[in-house]
Amino acid sequence: MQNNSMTKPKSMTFVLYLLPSILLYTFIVFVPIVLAGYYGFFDWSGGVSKTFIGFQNYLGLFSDDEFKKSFVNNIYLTFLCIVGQIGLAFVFAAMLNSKLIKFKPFHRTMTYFPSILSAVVIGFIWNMIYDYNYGFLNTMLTKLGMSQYVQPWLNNEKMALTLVSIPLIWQFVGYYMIILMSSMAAIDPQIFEMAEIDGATGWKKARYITLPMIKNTLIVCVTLCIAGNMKVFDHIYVMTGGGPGDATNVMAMYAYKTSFVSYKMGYGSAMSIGILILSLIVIGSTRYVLTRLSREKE
Amino acid sequence: MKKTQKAISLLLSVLMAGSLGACGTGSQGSTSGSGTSEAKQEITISHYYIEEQRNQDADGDSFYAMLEKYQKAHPNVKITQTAMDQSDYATKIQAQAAVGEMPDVFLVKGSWFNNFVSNKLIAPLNEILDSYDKKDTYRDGIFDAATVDGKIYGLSTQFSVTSLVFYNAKMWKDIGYDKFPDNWNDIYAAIKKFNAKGITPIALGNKDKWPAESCILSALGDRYTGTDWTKSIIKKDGTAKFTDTSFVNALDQLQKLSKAKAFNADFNSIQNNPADEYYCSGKAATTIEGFWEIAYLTENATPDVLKNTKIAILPPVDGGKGSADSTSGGCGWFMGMSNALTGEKKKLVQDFLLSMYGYDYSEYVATEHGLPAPCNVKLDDVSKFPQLTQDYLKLMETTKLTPIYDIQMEGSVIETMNSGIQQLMNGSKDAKTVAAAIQTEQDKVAKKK
Amino acid sequence: MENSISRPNKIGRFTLGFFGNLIILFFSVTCIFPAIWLFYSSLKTKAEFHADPVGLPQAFNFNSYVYIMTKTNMWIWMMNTIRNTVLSLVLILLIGFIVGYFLSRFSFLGRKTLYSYFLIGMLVPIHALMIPMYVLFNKTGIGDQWYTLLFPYVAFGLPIAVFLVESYMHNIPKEIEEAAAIDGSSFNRTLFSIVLPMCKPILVTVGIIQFFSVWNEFTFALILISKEALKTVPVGLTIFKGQYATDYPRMMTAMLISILPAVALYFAFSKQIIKGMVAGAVKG
Repeated sequence: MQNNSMTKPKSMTFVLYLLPSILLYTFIVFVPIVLAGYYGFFDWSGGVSKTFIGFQNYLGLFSDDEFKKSFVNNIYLTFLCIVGQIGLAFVFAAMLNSKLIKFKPFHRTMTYFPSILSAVVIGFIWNMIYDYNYGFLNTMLTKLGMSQYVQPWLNNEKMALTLVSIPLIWQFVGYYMIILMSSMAAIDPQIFEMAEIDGATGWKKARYITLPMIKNTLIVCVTLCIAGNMKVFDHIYVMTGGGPGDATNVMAMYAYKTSFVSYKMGYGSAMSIGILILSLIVIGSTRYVLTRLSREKE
Repeated sequence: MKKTQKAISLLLSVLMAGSLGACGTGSQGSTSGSGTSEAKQEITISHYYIEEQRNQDADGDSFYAMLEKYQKAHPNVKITQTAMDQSDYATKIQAQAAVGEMPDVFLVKGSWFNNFVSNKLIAPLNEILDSYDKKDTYRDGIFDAATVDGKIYGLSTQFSVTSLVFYNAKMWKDIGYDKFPDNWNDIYAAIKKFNAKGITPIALGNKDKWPAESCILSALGDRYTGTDWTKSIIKKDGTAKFTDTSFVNALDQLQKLSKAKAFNADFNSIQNNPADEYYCSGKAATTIEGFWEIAYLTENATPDVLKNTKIAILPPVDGGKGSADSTSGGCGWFMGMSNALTGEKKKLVQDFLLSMYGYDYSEYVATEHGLPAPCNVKLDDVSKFPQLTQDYLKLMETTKLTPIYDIQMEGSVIETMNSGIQQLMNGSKDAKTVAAAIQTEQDKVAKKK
Repeated sequence: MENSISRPNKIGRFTLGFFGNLIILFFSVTCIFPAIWLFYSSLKTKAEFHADPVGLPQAFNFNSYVYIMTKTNMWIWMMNTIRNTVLSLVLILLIGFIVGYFLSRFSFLGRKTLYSYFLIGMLVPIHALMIPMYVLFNKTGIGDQWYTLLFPYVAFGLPIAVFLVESYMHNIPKEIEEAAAIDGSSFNRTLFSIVLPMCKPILVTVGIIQFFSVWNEFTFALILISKEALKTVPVGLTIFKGQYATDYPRMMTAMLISILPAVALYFAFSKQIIKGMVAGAVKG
């Protein structure tokens, strides 16, 4: 990071290179956020006329049970996805880095494949898996003689959110796996050899060598995972639309519905700011905890 | 290295093709004229009629038929359409309303009018309606949802009845009923019998949350509360409340039906059309849907099911305040006109609107599809229509209409109601709790006005 | 290395390997099967599909394909999607590279703030921001043009690009640029003909991630585009999901066609793509 007078360009060059990008980014990403923050101060049911109501919308977020519920749903989804996506990705990556697994290129290509599909396709496929009459899940259960478990899966308010998380996990395992693999590949193989001589088994190697060596990458993965899940929308929109009731309602869905179904656009805008702040808090605190934890271990 | 070069050249050629494609399509839109030097007039219109689904959608087919007719008569007017699926349409038009830039002509849902009018987005149509020589042919009350402070802001696109019971007469006869029961005890008895035979008593697909409310509760609720209650709720005058016993009883009935396993087990996780498949294929004995189901069944039901399908309305309830010979209906969607138009263009669009949704439209709907339309159209001979259509026409002669909840009540109230109904029918919340939640939302809305 | 394993462990290793292979094979198959199912279901008739949604088709029925390719504006949508994707990618890579490079190589006032500023974009819930977005595009007159979608695609593609390039640059020794400077290479020349090629692996990674997200993007395309001639594939395909749509084979054909170019590209270049991903992914 130290400055190097030899390669550092003139300040004019800096401005020329960075300014257009900053302007574009500010215009498209930041201005709408500011606008949303501004609309949050109004009672606005769409259309051109708005009434200024001060902080009412923002304060309303604190007493809105549905918003709280959807936040909790986001946290639950995020938790499942961190465990499921990154956990599975870690196991698979460790396996693919070992010599025991055959057809590595094939597995890498296949597991990454779902990441390239759109949420609409993923949602459609999984709706068919969960389908009551035709679904794979019920068909399999019947064939395995466990027909007492056959049920309309996404009808079940207690399970719906967990069921919705499975496609999300399934889709992105490959993505995190690739990231973790590259990080593992960078570990000096001699360390493993030494450990093997000392009698370390696969599990011990993963726990005591791989894990600490790639902890920074893991923190990055967790951050990406939280960022993705705090704003998750498409998959849920396609699969359940937030239902049954509010069982799978998440913050982005609730904000969208507040604006476009209930026509409370001021409140919906305030909510989008709320989502952004909550995401920052969750990411910040998770990173803080993770960094502390990983330091204490050393 | 060679490989990279190849990839780059491929990339470039794709890029070129892409941008050429853009130029091509960009100009395509404006070259459909007759080549005269006369300046072409343009009308923009946004709607949710998808041409691909024309044969299953009587409204959509009639829309396109009228549009084709207008285009033939006015080759110099260029009509630019934006068509998309109904829920996407709602999102998009709300975004346009937020900046106050509407297309010249657009579809408006009944519950949007208050908002659009107070924001001056939509123009009153009394001017053209008053001088329209066939004004008297419009049905009574067809403009109710589009009327704000005595002025009419949209032309009706439909005569919509949202709650009709389509039942398979043969299946009902097999368990001992000659026609759809006129009391709830028989219905509950029948539900047991159907379930014992492995037949779904009533097909329902409530994933999108509106079918149970729009197609069942709108009519069932009126049986209990009577129409005055509904009107008070719509006006938000505070007299009627969702927590009133009569409405809570209606919710209770819905929950009881669900508990008695009246519906297919996956009713909350599939959309209404996949649910209709249960009925179309003979796996369900009944489906409760709107008038659109007639066209849908005609297109999709097996010949045997179609032949045995009869139409009824929900039976009356004990101690209910509503009339027994009514069901929920009216016009839900209207064609409105932007308030920004002036002068010549305004005149042109007014003329367009009337040619699209005047008497001719109703005549087309009636004569081509055999359906009741916004205007009263006298049909001398209905025998050329399918039996189901004839039955429907006959039923409508004696049936009165009550307000459709989701067309006339506030969006946020309906959203709360719809989510609540899913929980109610799943058994995770009881009628009182759901009713209280809806009332809380209603209070919030009422306070604002 | 296998020699170093002590004998008593061999049976254990074999079982571990066997089950390991089995588990990962199972997962791989679940990843690809849905696409295969989509493909053969698209060849079924509606009745066939309802009778058995999982079974193979009895005969190849290309009706759905013919319908979509001839009766809809699929070709126009496809061209628009290709144009948006390619142009956005070029811009994302170029801008992401420049910003990432500057942020990692030089310290200047506000560097950290700028970095965080770019990363916040990853957290923006765009579905909740559609109204302000629409207002912005409408008031500035850049809505509903052939270039409209490039703005959000590039701007929202930047955070991940900046993030990845910035962290990748740490692995590239600064001495290379210094040597170039001594040889008299100008800053621009060094940047584009020396540093850029060295960043190829990470740019491939960025390109892959962004290619598919732009290709599949729906929300911006729905809100910001109205003209039929500018519609993209995902928005165009909504005509199959309307309230009367129950023709599953046709819907599935539509979905398949929409992902086909991306899937074909993925499998044609899968080796390079994965290699790029592995080489480029974050190294902490």
